[in-house]
Amino acid sequence: MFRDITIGQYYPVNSILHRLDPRVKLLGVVVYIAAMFVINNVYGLIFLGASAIALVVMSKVPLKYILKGLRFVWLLVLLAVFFNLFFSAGQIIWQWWILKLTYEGMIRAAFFALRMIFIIIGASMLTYTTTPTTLTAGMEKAFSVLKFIHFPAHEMAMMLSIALRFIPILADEVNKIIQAQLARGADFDSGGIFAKAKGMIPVLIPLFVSAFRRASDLADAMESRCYHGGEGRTKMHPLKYAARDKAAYFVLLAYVLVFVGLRICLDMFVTYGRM
Amino acid sequence: MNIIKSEKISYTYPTYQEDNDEGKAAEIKPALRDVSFDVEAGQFICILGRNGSGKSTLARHLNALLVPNEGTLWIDGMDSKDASKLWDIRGNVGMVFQNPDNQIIGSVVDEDVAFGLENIGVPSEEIQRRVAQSLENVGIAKYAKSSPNKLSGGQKQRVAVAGILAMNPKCIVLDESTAMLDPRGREEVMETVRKLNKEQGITVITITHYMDEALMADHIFVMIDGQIAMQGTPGEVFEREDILERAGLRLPQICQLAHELRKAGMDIPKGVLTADELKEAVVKAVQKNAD
Amino acid sequence: MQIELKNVNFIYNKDSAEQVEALSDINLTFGGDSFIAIIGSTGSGKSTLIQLLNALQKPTEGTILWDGEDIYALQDSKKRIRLLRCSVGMAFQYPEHQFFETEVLKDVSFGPKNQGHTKEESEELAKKALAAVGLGPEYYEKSPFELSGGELRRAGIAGILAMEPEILILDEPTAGLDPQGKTDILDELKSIQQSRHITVILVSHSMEEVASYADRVIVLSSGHVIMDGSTHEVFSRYKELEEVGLKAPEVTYFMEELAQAGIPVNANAITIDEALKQIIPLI
Repeated sequence: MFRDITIGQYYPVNSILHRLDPRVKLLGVVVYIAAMFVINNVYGLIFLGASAIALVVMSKVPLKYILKGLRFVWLLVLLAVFFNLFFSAGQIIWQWWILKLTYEGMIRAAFFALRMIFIIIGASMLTYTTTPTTLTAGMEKAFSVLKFIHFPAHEMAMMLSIALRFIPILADEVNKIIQAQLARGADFDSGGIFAKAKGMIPVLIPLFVSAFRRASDLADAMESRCYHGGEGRTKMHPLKYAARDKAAYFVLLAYVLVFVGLRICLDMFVTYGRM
Repeated sequence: MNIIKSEKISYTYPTYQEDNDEGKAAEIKPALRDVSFDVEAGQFICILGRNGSGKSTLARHLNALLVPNEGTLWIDGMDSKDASKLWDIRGNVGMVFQNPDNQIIGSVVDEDVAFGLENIGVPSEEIQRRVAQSLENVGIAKYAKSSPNKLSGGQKQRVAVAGILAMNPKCIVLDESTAMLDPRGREEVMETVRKLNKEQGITVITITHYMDEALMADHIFVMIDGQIAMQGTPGEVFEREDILERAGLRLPQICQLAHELRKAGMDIPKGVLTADELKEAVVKAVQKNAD
Repeated sequence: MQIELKNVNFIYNKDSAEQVEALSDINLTFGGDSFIAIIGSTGSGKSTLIQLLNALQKPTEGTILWDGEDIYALQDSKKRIRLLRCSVGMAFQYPEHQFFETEVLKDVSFGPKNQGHTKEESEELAKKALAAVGLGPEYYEKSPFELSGGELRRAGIAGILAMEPEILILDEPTAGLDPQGKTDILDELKSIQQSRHITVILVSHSMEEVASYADRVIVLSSGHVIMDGSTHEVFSRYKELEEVGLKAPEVTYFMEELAQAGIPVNANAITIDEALKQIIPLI
């Protein structure tokens, strides 16, 4: 069941986005998401939509693959749309029970849905174009600027990369345990929600035991390979900025200026327009 | 030279005692008792014994994951209790554990092989060179960029061996590393370490339940209840059916057949290990009988 | 209980890019008072086959009949499948990894309880099962964490045995155990099979184990059944076994070499005892 989740899974092609330094891409995502929250008008939204499309094209990740990944967030988007659509105050067009369809609600819902989809597409471009290893290396390096407040950048990156390595293994393990308990006549289907929750105990406990056993084995393996934290560690492939990365930083800067500009201009337009 | 020298080491696992009703302390058995032995550099050693006989505890001492409560363990001339030598010891003695999945840290094969080198601060170019070389040596170079999850058990264990090999170790310890593998995987792993032992002179210490792996060894230790009950060449060890029986072990089929035939009155010389040796002995005995 | 597989195919991820044909055209019958071994190298389809037998997987094509009934075609198939899993017991690899109770007896009675037995009946069945694998009353209240590797494995198997299956399937029950532990478990399984007159199906990588315990051997290779016969028949075709990455027990090869050296023996001995019976009369 976990195999179907394509959102956030590295897609191996060679594109300009794939070759960029992960730190650039991390900052890019931060900027992009910030832009989403700063921008509050249609022009801004069009601008962001255009940049999302540009990113997708540059990444060479097939659109089909990206849309397949969105499948799992549709529900979330629909839910948000539903609440915005029927629970917004404003000019009522249609009403039934507590549900009120308003003109403002329709605009807000559309705005919200597009914003969410753009954010998801934009952010998932990071993971589609960056291997987990590079990504964690990038995070480690990016967050190490926070060393002065004792931010554990190395530890965090190490935990993240171990988690990424063990998620498929544990997912597999869940399947195995479920099968083993099914073979002992366990019933995961019938009964109410409490019966079902109780029915999961024979799966969850062995899973935890196994996770702890694996963690303890892994700790031994890491120690016996001289692991002693981030102190004095080197990297096989240290991150180095190339010319394209520097160029990308300039593009990002330009991007920030544009959307800040868009916001300011429009605010001004709105303010003075009313005068 | 002795790469490992053990002088009467004992070890008891710490227990976190809860107060039990009768107020008596539960009996705690030491996992190792007065274990003394030597391993010469370049040897292929096999440690046999049943589950719980102290084999794995001993293995964990060999790269200072555990240190003895009593006695001294010298590893390449360093006292394993000497905390300042810890990374030297672990760089010199690599461990391959039982579960292939639980010892691979990297999400990509070559990243994992690099892990140890990164830990001891080797420069990047040197890491790349040594990783490529070790992957080559264990025969999985073509999987360098694969995810470990896509490999077979035998290949995963060879990734683990490569990770150790990259550290230029003097000794590799395999702690039941073939127990979870299929016959093909076992063969791959044993063939790999045997090659490293023969060609690069790396000392190999393997802990196993498979008697055919023990036949490869220069020297065998048999452990019973935290002690070394017997040691010697495979020929010597497999003659002592009584001790093996006590250690919960079984003879390899050929040795077992040799024993039974001798018991039945056939003239089979001691120390027969291989099918060829036994065949020769049987042919000779049958011919003598015919004369 | 008899299980009949008719023209069974099994395909993983059908109609997708990762489609894998795990089993093709399987025709087999299991049942009766027998000890059956399934051998084959990794990826030959052994695991898939045994999962079909207790309905953990449904065949892509073909029919499986349990005592002549196609369960998937029945109205109340869901309920029947659950009952079926009790009469076709399956011990997966490392069955000790499924423990979730704090006491051994409680865990072993999980299966019988799911079958609908009362608490008392379940514990009675659990005690019987534990006794059959050599674990006495002193183990009932122990935590699974206090047991040794071999004891845990046996308790795990008891968890299946307690459901009194008519067919007991075991996927590499001896993996990772020491030689004594292996022999103990196999001896116990053999005696359970003979005293309860049930079918034991053993998946194993050890040809020596198979030779000493099984009456019938099924050989799988790339999803096909390539041999199915008595243990002697199968191992006498060791040249074909080698072609699919398997082999005969060591002693069979030894007898073959002896025969070639002019000693009047033949290579059909598959255990030490059989070899001795042939060689000893010569002196």
